[in-house]
Amino acid sequence: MKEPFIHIKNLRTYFHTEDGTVPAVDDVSLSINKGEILAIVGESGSGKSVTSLSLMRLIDPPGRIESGEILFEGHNLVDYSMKKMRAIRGNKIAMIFQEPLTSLNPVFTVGNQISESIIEHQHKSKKEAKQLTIEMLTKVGIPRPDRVFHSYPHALSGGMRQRVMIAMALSCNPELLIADEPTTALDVTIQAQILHLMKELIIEFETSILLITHDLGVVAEMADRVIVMYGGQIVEETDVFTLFKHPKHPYTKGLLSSTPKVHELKEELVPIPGSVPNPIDYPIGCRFADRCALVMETCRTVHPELIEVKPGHLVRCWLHERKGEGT
Amino acid sequence: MGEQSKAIIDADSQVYMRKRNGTIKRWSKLLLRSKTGTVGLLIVFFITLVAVFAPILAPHDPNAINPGGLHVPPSWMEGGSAEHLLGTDNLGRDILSRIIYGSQVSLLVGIAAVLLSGIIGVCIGLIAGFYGGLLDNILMRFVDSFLAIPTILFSLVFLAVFGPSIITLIIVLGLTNWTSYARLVRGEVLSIKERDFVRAARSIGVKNNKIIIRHLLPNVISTFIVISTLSVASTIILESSLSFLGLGIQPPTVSWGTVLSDGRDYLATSWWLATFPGIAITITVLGIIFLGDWLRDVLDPRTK
Amino acid sequence: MTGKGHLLEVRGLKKSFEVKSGFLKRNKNDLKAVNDVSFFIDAGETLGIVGESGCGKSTTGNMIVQLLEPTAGEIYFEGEDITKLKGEALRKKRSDIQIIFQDPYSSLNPRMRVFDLIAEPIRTHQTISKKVLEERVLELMKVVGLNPSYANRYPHEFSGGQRQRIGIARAIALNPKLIVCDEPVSALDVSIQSQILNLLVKLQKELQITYLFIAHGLPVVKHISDRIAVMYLGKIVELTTKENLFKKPMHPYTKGLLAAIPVPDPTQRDLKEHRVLIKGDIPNAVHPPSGCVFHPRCPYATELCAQEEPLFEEKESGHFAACHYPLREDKGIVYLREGNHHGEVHFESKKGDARFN
Repeated sequence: MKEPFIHIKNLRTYFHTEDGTVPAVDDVSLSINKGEILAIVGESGSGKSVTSLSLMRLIDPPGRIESGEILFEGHNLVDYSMKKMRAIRGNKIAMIFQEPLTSLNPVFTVGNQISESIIEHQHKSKKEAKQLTIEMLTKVGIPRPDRVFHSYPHALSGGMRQRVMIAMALSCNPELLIADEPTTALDVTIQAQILHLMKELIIEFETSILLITHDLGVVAEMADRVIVMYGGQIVEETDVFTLFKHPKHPYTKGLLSSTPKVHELKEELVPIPGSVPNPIDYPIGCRFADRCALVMETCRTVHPELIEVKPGHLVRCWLHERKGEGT
Repeated sequence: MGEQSKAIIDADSQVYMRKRNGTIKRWSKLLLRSKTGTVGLLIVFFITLVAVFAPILAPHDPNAINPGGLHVPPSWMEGGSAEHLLGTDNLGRDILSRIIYGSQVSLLVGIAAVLLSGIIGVCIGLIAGFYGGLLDNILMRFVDSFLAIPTILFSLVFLAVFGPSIITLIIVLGLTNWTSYARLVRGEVLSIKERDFVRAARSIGVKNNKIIIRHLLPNVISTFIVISTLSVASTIILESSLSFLGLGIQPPTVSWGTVLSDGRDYLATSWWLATFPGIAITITVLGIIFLGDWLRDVLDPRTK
Repeated sequence: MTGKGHLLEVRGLKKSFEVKSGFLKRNKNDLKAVNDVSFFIDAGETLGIVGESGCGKSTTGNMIVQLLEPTAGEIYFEGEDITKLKGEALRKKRSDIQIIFQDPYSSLNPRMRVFDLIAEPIRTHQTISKKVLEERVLELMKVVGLNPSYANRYPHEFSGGQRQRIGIARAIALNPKLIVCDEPVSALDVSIQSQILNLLVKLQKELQITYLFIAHGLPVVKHISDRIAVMYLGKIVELTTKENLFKKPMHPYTKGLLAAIPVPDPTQRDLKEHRVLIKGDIPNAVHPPSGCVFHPRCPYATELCAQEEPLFEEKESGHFAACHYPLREDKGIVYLREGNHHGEVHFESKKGDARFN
């Protein structure tokens, strides 16, 4: 049985904008098990990225963590000082982003940046750090790592940069790797390479991954468990096989049926009508109600709770609330 | 199109037409909401009133020399008199009256010169940026060579040749400043030109002059407003330097610049000579900058 | 032949950009963005072009709508070479060929109201009364699924999907014969993508429009296209019907592309372990590889591939490919299945590919 090692409890991260308060993450609770890949799926504005940034305490004003706990190794990260957080970031929890070019400093060489983080977190000598860096670059499948060590980020291709980011992230052997849309900016053949690489590496490094993505294909290939977010909240959480075979929430079903499936000849795309509601002014009932084909009276008036319909399968929907009560 | 859908479209078009009239409402709403905008408008409005009604408002003839009352300090100081609220200068002329009269020329010259340089600069920047290539090269080298000429030297020669008057002063001040607009606008255009909406307009077959007027100009206008409001100040100062050199405003006409430069020699003994025209310039410039900020917001539809 | 019979025929299209590098930018090189591309589109059909970044698909689209001038080659539209058109004649022709852009945020002038945005193409090409124009614009808004009472709003007040609808309304405003869709859904969320795709299909049926549909991913292209061209480094490597392309891809690159697409079905994971991953990076288009441009990444490449460039030719009826060793049958992985995705599907997985030499 896999042990959870990170618990997020009732996390709320709000952005106080001029137009009003945006509840980007609204009462999210989740835990991540050792060695698993947990995917958070959602569209833009669903709160999936803010959840991961909150976990790293990388929320800048006007955003703020309003309440909730992030428990990691028995400590609540929400109470940590920025200094203590820096010791965690990049060391115990590392992160890779969608666009590696913006997360690498253009004026330093690749090797310089990776070894710097090794020296900072692992207190190694410069020479040891360099050796370790080249070792890491080899592990992420970079050809001629000694040459890449001395290259600047802009001289590398998108795929190579993402490999460098992964090398940097894994160089301190973190317990959790947060991958925020790691392959969205990449071409599909490169995406396949990077996903493959990530899968191999987490077995070697025994790292857990929190994978943030909008692509259900990537989820199906990578994840062990999946959380579907909509409007800042979790609407469904279950293991990956159940999610694709027996999705419960109408939004999850809608996402599945509106995703083009390349491997089927005949298909009909059934879009989800309408668009995401304005986050400043969420409806009092279910946030998906306006776009839902199965909407009922209750959905518009009372906000549904996230309930466990089967062990490990959580859904936030009135349709399943009733069934849940029956059994 | 069926009768019914036609009726619906008619109804929609009425909604559309009704909403169209909301512009003035939006402007005033934005003005009232922005405190700086309101303050700016009030200042500019006030100074314009002063300039227009100078003959009524001024307590004295601005050029009346009073040998009996030289360097009279402002009324609230020792030795001041209620007759000269802001004191008198080295020739015994009433400072307040000179500032009130000076607002006419300073406002006119400041704003007209900035508009002139703005129009020249924006046009050249738009054309150079949009057409690019050889034309761009020629225009920009022209701008560069213009920048190489010292402003004061150019003004001196120009004014010496054409003779100093308000009109020549506006022209010379306008001509010295347009290069900065041209460069900024050109840079802006170069980036906007690559945006998809300009390519979209081209793909539709919109003519070049319409692309410049409808797509480029509205998107560079905010840059123009920001730098032009700031340069009103430098223009008023430049006018005073020219006046100081005797090539600007000729007596008996008064401008803030002349009042300021008259007082420069007496800063140590009679500070009020230069201070009050200085304050007048500062307040006016602040007012114009505030107003410009609001104008920039109003012209951007993204501001609610 | 002057391209008669086809709505659009492109022959030997090339586009190079000059790239300067080195000290004082003294090294000049040609980046061959599009390198000898030929295809045709018949009226009423949709030709999809797929390829990864830098393959030249958007450059091709931009040349067809005359936003870029080709370095070489001809573009026949209704039998007329439109690359020769200049000035007023070109401006008039533009109403027949329209484009929908990828980014619905940058493709709409932020300072124009929706009404004026949609009216712009009509005003540019027609002189009609205000009343008629108003009716036409509001009707167009209805057609693309926008509420006409929003005509007075600015683009920033709309979501990405709605903005793309504005872009579509502009594109269809002049009743064009051909619309180049340049990755029209890549910037949109999944649930919105399918809305826009379905709208495009609906409009095609109602207005008899022909599409050239450009995208970087096969799933989207597959949904809308009749025939699909696969581009790689400025060249078309394979062009055939949708069914052929998915059932029996001939070019190893197409096969690799198909295998690389993540399948939204976790039960297929183990099966996909057998797939052939295309190794390496896309080469620099300034210095493309010798011979077949794909050979450094191709699992089947031989000496010949490195030396001689394969011809783009019809290998089977209606199935064009540029490969010395086209794959004939693929038993390794099933790329296509005809069941619905909720049902159980069993796959046969045999390693190795049967192919002719």
